[in-house]
Amino acid sequence: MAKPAPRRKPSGKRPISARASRPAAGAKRPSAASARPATRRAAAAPRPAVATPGECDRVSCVLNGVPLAVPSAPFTRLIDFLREQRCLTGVKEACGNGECGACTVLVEGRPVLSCLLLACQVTGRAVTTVEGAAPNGKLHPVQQALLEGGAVQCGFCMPGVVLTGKALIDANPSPTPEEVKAALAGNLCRCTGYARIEAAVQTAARRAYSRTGDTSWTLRGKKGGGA
Amino acid sequence: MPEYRVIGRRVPRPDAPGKVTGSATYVADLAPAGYLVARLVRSPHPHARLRALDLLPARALPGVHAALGAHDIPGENRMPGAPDGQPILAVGEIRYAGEPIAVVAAESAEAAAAAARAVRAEYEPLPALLDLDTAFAGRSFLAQGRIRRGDPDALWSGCDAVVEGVWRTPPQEHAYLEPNGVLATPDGTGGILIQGSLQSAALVQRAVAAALGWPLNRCRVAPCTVGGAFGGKEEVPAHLAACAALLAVRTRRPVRLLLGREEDFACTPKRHAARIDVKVGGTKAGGLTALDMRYVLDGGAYVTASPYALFRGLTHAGGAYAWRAARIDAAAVRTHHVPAGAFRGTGEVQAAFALECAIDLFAAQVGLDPLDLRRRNLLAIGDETLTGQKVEGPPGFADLLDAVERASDWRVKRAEFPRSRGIRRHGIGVALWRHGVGPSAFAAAGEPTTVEASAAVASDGSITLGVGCVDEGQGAHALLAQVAAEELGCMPEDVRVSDADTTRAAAAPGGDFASDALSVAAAVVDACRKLRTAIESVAGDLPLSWKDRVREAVRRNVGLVANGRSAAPALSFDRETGKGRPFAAYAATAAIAEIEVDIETGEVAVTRAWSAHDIGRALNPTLVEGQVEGGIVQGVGGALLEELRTRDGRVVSGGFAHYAIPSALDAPVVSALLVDGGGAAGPYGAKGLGEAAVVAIAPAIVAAIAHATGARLAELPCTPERVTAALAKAAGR
Repeated sequence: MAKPAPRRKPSGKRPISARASRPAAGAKRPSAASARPATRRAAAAPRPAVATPGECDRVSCVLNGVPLAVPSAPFTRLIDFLREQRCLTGVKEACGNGECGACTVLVEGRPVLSCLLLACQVTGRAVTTVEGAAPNGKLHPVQQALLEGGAVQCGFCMPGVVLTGKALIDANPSPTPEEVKAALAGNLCRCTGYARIEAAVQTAARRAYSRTGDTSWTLRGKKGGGA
Repeated sequence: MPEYRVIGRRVPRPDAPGKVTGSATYVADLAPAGYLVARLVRSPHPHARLRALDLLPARALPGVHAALGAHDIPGENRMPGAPDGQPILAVGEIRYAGEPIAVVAAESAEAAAAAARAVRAEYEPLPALLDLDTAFAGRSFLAQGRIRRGDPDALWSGCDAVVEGVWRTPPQEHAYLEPNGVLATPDGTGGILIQGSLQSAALVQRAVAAALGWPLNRCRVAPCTVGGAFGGKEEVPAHLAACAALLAVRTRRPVRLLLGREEDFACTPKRHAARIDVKVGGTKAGGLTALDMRYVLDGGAYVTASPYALFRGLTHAGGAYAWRAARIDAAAVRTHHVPAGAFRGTGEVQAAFALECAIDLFAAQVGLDPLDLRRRNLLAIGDETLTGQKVEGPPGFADLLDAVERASDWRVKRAEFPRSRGIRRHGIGVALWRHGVGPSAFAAAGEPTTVEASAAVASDGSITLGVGCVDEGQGAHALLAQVAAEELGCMPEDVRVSDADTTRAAAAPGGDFASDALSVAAAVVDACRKLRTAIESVAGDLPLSWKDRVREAVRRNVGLVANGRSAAPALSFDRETGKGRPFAAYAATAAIAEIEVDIETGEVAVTRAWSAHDIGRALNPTLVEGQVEGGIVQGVGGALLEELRTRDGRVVSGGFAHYAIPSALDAPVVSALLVDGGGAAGPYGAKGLGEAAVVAIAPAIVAAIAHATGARLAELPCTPERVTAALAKAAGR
């Protein structure tokens, strides 16, 4: 089971570059299947490390549940593609060097740093930004817990934190406090001191949400105590 | 104590949902049609003569719309209020590596970068002054000050124990997650709109107006959501906005100027590096009698915030203790480093580190528990501080020491930890600090001392507050909405706080001085009480809801806008004599750190921290706890990790890979203990907090390392290298 590696400690690198791309045909798969976080499946299959020729001038992926195939200049970073061409400005750039985690997005459910990827490298993949974490305006449990726990200050790290937290509890529904710390180690925050962020991720996991569809989440408590 | 309806409650922040969903708008998220990308051209030399500047090669490049130098500035080429005439774009002498000499605007970031590279500058490098001690020896002073009480020299011989040492702290980077940035947009009616990540809209407005040679009312500043500041977004946004405004006026296009992370690290103000010599003497019974301190800050190339840092360091230098005699000599020296600036706990972090380390050393010398030693020397009501100010009331230092002692299980750990053997040693240390809050006697040139705020009720009963303080992320605006709701008898969600827009905001100091909970809140209270009186005059006796009262007031033509004021109390401080009343009110903090040292590698981990604060009444406990937790972790970073390194005057540790700030793995478990010692300073008995949270933890950590290992570190941060060296020194003794 591949888990997001912490920044700097102990190894310092996220395992992203080796699993960046695959044939464009994947983009034509039904959106429902692609939108579901599919960490295990994605990690299992070996894939070519670079885009095949002819692909690098366009991006075809499933972005926040919606299939997409658009031209994009070669060497456009994923973060620039998302922010400038798709107006997804919830993706934040704070270092541009893969050091801070503010630009975290999910590719096939796993957190990656969008400042270190080229847009064409997500061809055939499902990409989720913070805008896709709360479809239909319904907050993700991590977002809800961050609000309730008073974990928000300047907010610049929050989109990355939300997605890292979501990826963690999708892959590991009952993380230990140490696992939460390790998962969040790549998301720098200068305001809060982290305790409330960690507690919020823990709270979201504890609420043991259940899935009602591919993209919407319901707290168990609100489903009549059942589910 | 009076009970309140909204004050003291954990009211949720209205800005938080937008921040967790990604819809909050920071300056980099603004991209108006046709905007140009600006870039500064900076000197690579820390000290040089700028012999020639040729902008034509840049202007000739495709996609480049403007390349401007100092001669293209129509107004004044000078930062507002800069006593040493710090220029916006340098001419003649370059004083630090990274000083801007020109600014370009182009259609893309790539074109702007190419244009910046194409600018031809001819430098004659000059010898650079890069060492604090050399600068001090050469009397290269930006600011000086002193305090005298009695003659410590007459007391040393009578002291049972005297300790002395030299303590040093490095430059520290604010490392706000969002780098600095501004957007300047011509408004089409002869004015300009500045949006950006900034702390002081008033300062930015003055800088833009001066650079353009325009009146203030043509320069509107409307801050965006600010992604953290901590004191680091005062001068820089003003500087950037002046440059962006010049380009926007010249090109008639919106101009966006964002700093990259490495540029932000390399070229913006840091916490002052310091060298502090301390000598402390006292009795065997643990009575502190004499203090001698030489407090020297590296102010960098320009004056900027150095007089303020010096003021804060000087007025706090005696700590929480009563001294019979003291001599403090303080100076900020001019070097060719990047100018130092304000940073949470400005000037105090350095003084607290040196004094509290010396106190811990003294306690060890006389064989007393450091907590008990502090208890025997606390300033009490009626005492005079070193500036001659009578202690009129709390803070309750003893209550704070009690709180951290109890919560941390101090006695047991203090006795047991030294018995531990093996590679991992445990230790626990304490520090205490007294912190002036609210308005201070320090007034920068042109800074208003009276704070104003406006409150306007719309016909449906919703309320807009106009305030001049920016919410840097700490929740100041949420707090002010709470205050207004309390006063008007409505709900916090009925109140919106304007974004410190200069067209609506009244005069206010810029977010600094931790005055948000005090001065601005007091002005809001004043405005709301006027409004309430007006509304009650027409609907006072009627059993109506808030909205119906407003409707009634509208029907009867009652004015529904009010301005409030809060005047600074009479304060004074003379830097020559060291006498005065620098603050009207004081908060205080005690911190205990529990640490683990690996004596083979020298690695230190802070496992627990207890941080007690007398902040008066907590207006919103969630916000207060957030400030304490975040402040402690910033302090842990300063104590263990953070040191901005330079080589030949250039920053070489730019970026988070070379300058580590604490991650989730480095953060200790923090317990915030809030003590209300009374002694009202602001409305509802509130005192400021944000700054104090960061001050006391570093000396507590150093004391804990000494407790664990006997090694005493005298320089921050406590890197494995320094800890190993200190361990070797302690073993050799």
